[in-house]
Amino acid sequence: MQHLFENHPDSLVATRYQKIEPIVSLVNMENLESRDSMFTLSKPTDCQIYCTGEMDIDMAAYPKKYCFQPDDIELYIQTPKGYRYDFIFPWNDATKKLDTISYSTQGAEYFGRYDKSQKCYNASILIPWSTLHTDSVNHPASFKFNIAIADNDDNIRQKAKKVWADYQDPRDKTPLLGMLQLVDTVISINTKNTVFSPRTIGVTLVNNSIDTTQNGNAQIENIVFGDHIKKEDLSGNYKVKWNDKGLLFSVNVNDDRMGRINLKEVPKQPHFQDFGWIEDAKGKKVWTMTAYFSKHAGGALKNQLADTVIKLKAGKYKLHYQTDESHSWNSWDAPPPHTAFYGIVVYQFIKP
Amino acid sequence: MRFSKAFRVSLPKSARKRSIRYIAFIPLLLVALFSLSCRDVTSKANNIIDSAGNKKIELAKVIQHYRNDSDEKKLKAAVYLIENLPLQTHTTGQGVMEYQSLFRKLLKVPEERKDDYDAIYDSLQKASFTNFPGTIEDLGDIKSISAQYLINHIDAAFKAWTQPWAKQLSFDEFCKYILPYKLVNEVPEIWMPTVQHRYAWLQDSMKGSQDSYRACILVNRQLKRTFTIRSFPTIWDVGFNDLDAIQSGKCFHATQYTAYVMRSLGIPVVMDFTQFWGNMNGGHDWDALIYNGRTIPFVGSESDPGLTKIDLAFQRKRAKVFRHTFAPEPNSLPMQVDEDEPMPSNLNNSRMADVTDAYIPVTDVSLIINGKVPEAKAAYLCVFNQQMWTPVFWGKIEEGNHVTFQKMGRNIVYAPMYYDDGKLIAAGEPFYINHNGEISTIGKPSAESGTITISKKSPQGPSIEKDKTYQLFYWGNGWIKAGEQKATDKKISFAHVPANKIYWVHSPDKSTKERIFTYEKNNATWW
Repeated sequence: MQHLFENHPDSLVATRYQKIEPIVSLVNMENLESRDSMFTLSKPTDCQIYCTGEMDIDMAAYPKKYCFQPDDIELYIQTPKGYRYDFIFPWNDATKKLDTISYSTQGAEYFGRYDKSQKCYNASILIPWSTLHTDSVNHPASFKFNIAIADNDDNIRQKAKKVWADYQDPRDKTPLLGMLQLVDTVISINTKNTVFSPRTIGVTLVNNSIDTTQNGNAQIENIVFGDHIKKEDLSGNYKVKWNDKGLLFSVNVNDDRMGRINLKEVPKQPHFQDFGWIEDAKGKKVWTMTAYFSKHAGGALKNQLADTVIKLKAGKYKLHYQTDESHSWNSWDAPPPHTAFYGIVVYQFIKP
Repeated sequence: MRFSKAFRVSLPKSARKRSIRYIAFIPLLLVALFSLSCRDVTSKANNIIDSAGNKKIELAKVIQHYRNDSDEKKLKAAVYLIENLPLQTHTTGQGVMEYQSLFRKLLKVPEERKDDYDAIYDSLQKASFTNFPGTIEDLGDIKSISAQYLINHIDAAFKAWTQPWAKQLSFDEFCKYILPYKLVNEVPEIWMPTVQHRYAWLQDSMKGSQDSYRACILVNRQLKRTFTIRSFPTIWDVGFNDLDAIQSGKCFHATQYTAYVMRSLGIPVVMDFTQFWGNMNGGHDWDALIYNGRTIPFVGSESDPGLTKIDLAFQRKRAKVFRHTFAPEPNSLPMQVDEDEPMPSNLNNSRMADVTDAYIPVTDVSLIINGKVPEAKAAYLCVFNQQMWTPVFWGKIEEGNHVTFQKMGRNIVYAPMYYDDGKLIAAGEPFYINHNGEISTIGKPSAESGTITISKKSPQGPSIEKDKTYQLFYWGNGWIKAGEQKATDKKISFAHVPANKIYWVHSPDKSTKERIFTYEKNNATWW
């Protein structure tokens, strides 16, 4: 194997492994090849796995930031002192088909319900002042603010996102263009957002009272991701109130399909065309290269790598690697990865 | 004739008669000049020009035009086009005019109804014509082409070749991938200047890059915005102008339109295709970028090079991949057998090259074929497609009964056949080529028989349904019925079935999805 690392100082493989023989490897295969190689571990062993492969092209072409993300609501708040807080509230990991979900995250309280008959989410979110590191609120106070809603229809990735006060995804750390102004009386909402001028109105505010009318809700309608988004696919509105405890958001999202991510299953799905895996003596997969746990290997985005350590019991194992019709070693149909090899290599783990 | 009109206006009346005689003499002079000095033109091209009848003058004009050009390659390019002119044809006649009148009406269909092109066309046709289409004929391009057309095209092709990302193309590559004035059997049209004008932005967008891969992706990005893969009715090959007007078409039209655009811009793109999948119905067309000598597939207006999988993760299998060419392929079937040899129509094309090994691992299959050998010079390998054995490639019969089929795709079942009087006749047992290229015959005579139990008609269904009647066939130089049963469950069993055959379970419903299978150890393997 050492020859693979010659002239590749930036190889995926750590230098401490480059002078030793791996336990097993399958590298640099041609198109449409499927190979395996048996190996035996005489004792429980920590195995360092390096694997490069070709991710499914539709997954590779998809912006990674929207992959493995469920339906969600996102709040972005910047306090008058300039501290920014990004809150992501995913409809997440609901392994049972529940239509209500509640949890605490990042110091915020989330309660959500999906109304199957109306095909919409109703969510309430409380963000305590303490979470924003603000003990008390002086009136009038202003926060830079934005809110986004995202839609996942295939339980794998988000297909659309809409934002209230921007035409960019605030998850990209773009400046917050909306303004949340706390007032003591109800004021009207300007729902005609424009991207070109910073928003100074757009808030709602009722001190210590709740306005249940829908008329005052701000519409979340600027598409920042996705094409041909119908209203029933994704649309939403919100209002916000405040009191001594914090900010209370009420968000309604029309979405004709619940889109969860099952965090027990999704990480097991390869989403790869060229990839490797390890089976135990009974043929059970004990490790597989997956899109969820891979990262870019240089060159085309579909070139991905896995760099991980797993513990294997003593026993017999079979290493597998398969390639599909195109994009293999020295037969690239797109810029190749920057790694010294293309395939899978397993070493006995060495502490750095 | 603008030239002669100018003479008539500018010369005094007394000189007019002389001038007319002089003008009439010019073509003869051209021909004479051409004949007197033809060392820079190949004998093949000379012969074609000499035998071009009333188009001899036009072809001679092209040669003469480029003899006066400082770029010698332009003369060579003209010779290349003329050498390959005799095989170029297009469809013409009253039927084409009638089609065009319907096509122009299709162009007025509003956006929201464009998915209904086929239905609209049908109703237009019924309302307009009784015997549609009227008479048509294949006309050789050589009988209709003009000197000015060829000169305009050659100049535009050379303009494309000067693009920074095209300069590295050799003359041979230029002739194959940029120069041809047509892609299939469409009417010769002017298209390169139109595209070059429309895509003038490309050079700026390339920002100094000389990478044809990048150029291809930038142009395809624009095609994705404008061209939609959506069927519209065609009877013969349409050309650039029709595709440009309708901006729609099947994958074949998308690849054709893409090739026009790419080639006009100096991006070497070819049209490749598999006529018949080896494991399912139908076939597919796609583009390929020729990049550093490699073939990189994509579907113009839909997917990019490097982000396109033709086999869709092993779902589709290719027995053969061909490429549309301008020049005739010496190894094509019509070029290898006698002119009067009957042959399957899908392989009767000298302008398609076998490029299977540019895409997938292949195996050469040598067989001794059985049975009565007709007067045929070729045998054929067939795949099961659209509920019949369909020829995908041919091999030349040598020494009586030996035949080699070159570069066949793997993981596919093939049946060797003869072609006689429009029919396919079994020439031996079917076989499959496995992943490693090993060949195994299926259906050798055997006394064994057994029971076959099956729960569906193909790998993905349709499932066997209770109370429906199913027939089981096996292949033995023809489909032989092994039994007929009404299903009493979600699976069905047939007893006393000859072992080690290729089988086919059939019922009238969803029959187009049925696939053949082999059966071993109570398990079906679908092909």
